[in-house]
Amino acid sequence: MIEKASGWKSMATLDNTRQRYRYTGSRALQPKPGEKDKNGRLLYGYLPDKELVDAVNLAIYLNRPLLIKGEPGCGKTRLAQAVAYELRLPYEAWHIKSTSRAHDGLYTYDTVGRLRDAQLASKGWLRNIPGPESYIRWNALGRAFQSNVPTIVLIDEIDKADIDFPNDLLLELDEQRFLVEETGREMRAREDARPIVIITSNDEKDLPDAFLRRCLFHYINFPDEIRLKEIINVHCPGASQAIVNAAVGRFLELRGKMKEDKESGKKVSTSELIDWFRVLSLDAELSSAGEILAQLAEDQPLPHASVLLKSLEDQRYRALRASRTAK
Amino acid sequence: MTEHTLPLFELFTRLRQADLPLGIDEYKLLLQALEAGFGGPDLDALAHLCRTLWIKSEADLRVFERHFQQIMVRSMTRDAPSSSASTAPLQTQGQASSSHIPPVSQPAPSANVATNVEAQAVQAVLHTASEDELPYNHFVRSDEYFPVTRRQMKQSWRYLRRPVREGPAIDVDIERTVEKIGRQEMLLEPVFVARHVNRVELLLLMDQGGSMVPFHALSRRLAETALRGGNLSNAEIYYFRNSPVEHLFLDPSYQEARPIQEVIKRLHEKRAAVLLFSDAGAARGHYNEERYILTKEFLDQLKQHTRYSAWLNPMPPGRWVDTTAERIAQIIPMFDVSRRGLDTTISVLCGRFLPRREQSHHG
Repeated sequence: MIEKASGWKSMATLDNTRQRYRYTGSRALQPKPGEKDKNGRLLYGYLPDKELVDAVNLAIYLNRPLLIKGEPGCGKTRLAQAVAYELRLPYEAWHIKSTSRAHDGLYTYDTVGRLRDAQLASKGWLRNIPGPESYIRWNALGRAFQSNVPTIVLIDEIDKADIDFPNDLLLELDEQRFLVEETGREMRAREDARPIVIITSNDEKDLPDAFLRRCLFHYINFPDEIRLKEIINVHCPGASQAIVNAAVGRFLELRGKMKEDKESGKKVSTSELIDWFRVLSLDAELSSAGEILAQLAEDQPLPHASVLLKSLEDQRYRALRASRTAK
Repeated sequence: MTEHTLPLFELFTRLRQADLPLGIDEYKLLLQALEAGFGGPDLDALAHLCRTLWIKSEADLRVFERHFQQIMVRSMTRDAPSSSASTAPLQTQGQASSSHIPPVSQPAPSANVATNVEAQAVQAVLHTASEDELPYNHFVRSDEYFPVTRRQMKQSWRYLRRPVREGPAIDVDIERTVEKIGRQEMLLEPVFVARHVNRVELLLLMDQGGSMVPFHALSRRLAETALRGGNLSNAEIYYFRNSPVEHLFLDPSYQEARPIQEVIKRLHEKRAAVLLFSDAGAARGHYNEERYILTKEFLDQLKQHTRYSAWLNPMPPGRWVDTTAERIAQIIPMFDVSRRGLDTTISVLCGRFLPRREQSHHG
């Protein structure tokens, strides 16, 4: 028992290095409007609530993967990039497909290429066969393990893969090492540069218990009205506040109605609100803000409803106005 | 006040008793996080910390919220008046930020503050180890009272596989590639094959109502785990009463019907697996000729379209004797709802294991 306790103690002091990285989510550290990532895509701010910020810091400090769940479109996937941006750490994304295998996240080995080279060499058409190492292609997790600074690794939509998938990742996530079978080389993350892993799930399949036990868990709640307005302002800087207020009002009304009608099932999401607002502000630029405000008035049908309503069944919300004015 | 009455540990113990999957590691994790200054400054933040570390599902969350309310909030109000001594904050090695943590999360005032966190961990280890299994009240606090738990059902469903190579050819077929190199004396092009995918189509037929009423929760769970837990790409569920005659129903309350022929015709000869869930008359305890004949007619029809079918019977095999179930078990592999019974059922549906008839009684 004593041993156990002291072992844990030494771990705590060791983890002090990790405390260097503290996520705040503060407005001052967000990307500036118009700032682009290295692929030329526009970066936007990300406004986490305090609980989410705490969960991220806890995951960093305790060195556990952070599992994020929440409604579709609530910003699960974007969290990892936002954390990487603020902490100025490298970012690796691994988007899971139904055919993904745990191994795919670490590396792929170009066996065929190696066989081809061997064949070419045996015919004398290739002078030097490259060493076995050179056929390794590192993937997201594999690269993160070799980094000199902690890398933010996003494992997106883990529930899409086979049910065995999360369990196959346990060793890699737990001990932060893996073996390149083809060369026998063991890769181990540097003690002070262990990857920070953020995992998202849409809850389509249950995850195995053994896997859940090792993760920290956070459920992203739907933002309240004030936060929604902040989010809009971050994504569409310079928008007229009158339009923001009116749009968020209509949006929340629609969402409330959907929630009333169907307990579960798809409701309009934050990401759809952002898209919708972009269309509205484009309209406002082309015509006038006054006209858009008139369209957003409560007794009007929803403008650009197709951005928000994606199924035939949902089309009935187009003419939502009646519900409120009738009262 | 002893260490054992500390609210945090009490909370931990209570949650464990309520069957949350928590171990010493989880408790240590909490102490470690508290020491680093997480979980402050108020009860809400502490609750959030515990949730992040300990709670992984919605059902667990409800249990947690109840116990947290009971233990923390109660002890908060109890401690508040007499707190002149006990407001001494949780002093963890110079962590000033944690000084906002209310007295509830704090060790006994008499404890040595410098070693409190470690002491707590050791106490937790000792304490929990001594009564590790917490046997009392076990079955009352869990709804897993069936012979097969949800988890086990899911695990069994996962073995229901009919692998088919399908989709783009992306895997290298090593054997055929090597063979080709042998023929051509060098590698021109490797041989690719499609990847294995599970193409099993499960048809679950549930007896509903009548003698099956006591087993409705069990059949719901079977359906639930088949649809959600396993990796079945295709599972359909229909309902019937006593024996399937002419129509199968899409819902347990017999609202929407499909002709049996139509359902059966759609079955893929090689991929379909049909599982019936019914007591087959065993609950009634006598032999019913009409039920047997109707069931046999249906099974004969079924066998023309698929090779893989099995029967799960919620009644224990001892009760099948001298009932309709005994006769039906002679024309279709029938098993009881136990871990082993379920696994054998799945094997039969995969075509791996066809028991001789006399074996089928003990599943």
